[in-house]
Amino acid sequence: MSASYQAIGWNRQKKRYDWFIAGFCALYLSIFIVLTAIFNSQYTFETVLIRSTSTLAILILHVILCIGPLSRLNSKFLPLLYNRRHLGVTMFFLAAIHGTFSIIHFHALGDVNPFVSLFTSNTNYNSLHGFPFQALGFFALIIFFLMAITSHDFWLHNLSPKVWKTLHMFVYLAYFLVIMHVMLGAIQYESHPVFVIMIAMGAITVISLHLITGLKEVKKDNARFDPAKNGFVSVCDINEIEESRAKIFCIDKERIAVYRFENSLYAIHNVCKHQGGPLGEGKIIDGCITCPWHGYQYLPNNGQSPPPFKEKVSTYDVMVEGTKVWLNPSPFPEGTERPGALINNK
Amino acid sequence: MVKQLRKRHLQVWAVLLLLIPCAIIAGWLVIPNQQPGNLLQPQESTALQVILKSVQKENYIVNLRTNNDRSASQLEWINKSALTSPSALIYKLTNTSTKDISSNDLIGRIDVKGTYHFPLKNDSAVNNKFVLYDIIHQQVIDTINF
Repeated sequence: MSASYQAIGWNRQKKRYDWFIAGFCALYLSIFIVLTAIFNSQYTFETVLIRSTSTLAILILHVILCIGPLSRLNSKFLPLLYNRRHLGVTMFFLAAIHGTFSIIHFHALGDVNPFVSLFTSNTNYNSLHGFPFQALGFFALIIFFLMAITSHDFWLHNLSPKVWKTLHMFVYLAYFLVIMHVMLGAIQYESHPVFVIMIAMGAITVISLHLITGLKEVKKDNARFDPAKNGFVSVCDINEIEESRAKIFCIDKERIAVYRFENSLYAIHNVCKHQGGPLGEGKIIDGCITCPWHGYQYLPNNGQSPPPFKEKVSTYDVMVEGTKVWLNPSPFPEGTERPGALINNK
Repeated sequence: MVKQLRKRHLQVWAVLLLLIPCAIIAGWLVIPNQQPGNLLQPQESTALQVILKSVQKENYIVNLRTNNDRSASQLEWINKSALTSPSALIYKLTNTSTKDISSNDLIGRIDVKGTYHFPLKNDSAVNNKFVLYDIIHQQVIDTINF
């Protein structure tokens, strides 16, 4: 992370990731254009560009929507989550090319302002077949635009995480608008069943992944514990927690991560201040609890980000009796120093 | 994510579980039987020998053609320049109304500058009225009466 919102030097992994995205997009567009030139040479270059960028943007949108739940199911997908915003901005640019060329192609040749024409040339809002599907795509593009321009952490800090997250959850509405845009637009004129099947398969994959992970999280949140003794709840055996790793418990309202580090246990609030990443699914790097999503770090003994950063999370009391781990779910104010529980303190 | 946000995510996807399949099925059900996307003519199509009737417009010439023994009919569309509406369809009117355009006979699709030939049913030599229709804006661009 950067303390002053300046550009961060791209590390090797980020560079490889970005080159892969750029290479894949170039390859996809090239193949699409060449195949169209061979098999449908009547189409103009504008038409091919409109179609190739739209299909690629939809493909990337599906990948983006799958990354979140996939990384919940398997930590091998976490590097994709770390760089997801790059993919999002790329998808927006492709969608913007599609939208711009579509407006020029279909609306710029008349004597009406192209944006006025977009909304007024077809007013069959009461017909499903003749529905002005371009308006749906336009609104989805507006959402993608707002998400792309606010993707930098500058906006996350200035809008507040709550507002920022709410804004970025509009991607789900945008996804629905895109599905409608395709089904009431392109599918009506290029109605080969393979296109409908592809859209349906994509939607089934995305929805299933989100529901599976969502229900799994509900199960975790509803885990039951024995009644508290002196405010402490028995949560697990000490051997269940690996060194420099954590176990997560949801005793009352929120999840708590109990970390094992250098023969002690520390408990902090599980939610990262950056984008709400699950701190308990990260690990301790250089003595700091490191969020698996974007690498934000916190000291295990006080929940504070190391200077010059100012993020803080709540800490909790944890206790070891024999091999049993006891946790007090009452939070201390964010950044409160707690000594941790010695593991061999019998 | 905090618990409330996790809950909200799950609620949103539960709603989408209902909405998206409905959107896909509804969109699939209203696909017209006639598919404009498949109507770009093959490049090697040639004109029939005899011009029966011809209509000249500013940007295009439209000819009704037939062969020597009049066993086949054809609509020839010569686009002098690209249409201002990039995706236009030609319908042969089978009823007097253009309100529900898909109820008429779809003849073909006009795209860029060039000459297009579309086969017509043999009875097309009589009572021919064609409409050039913009499928994006859902409006009639021009009417051609022979």
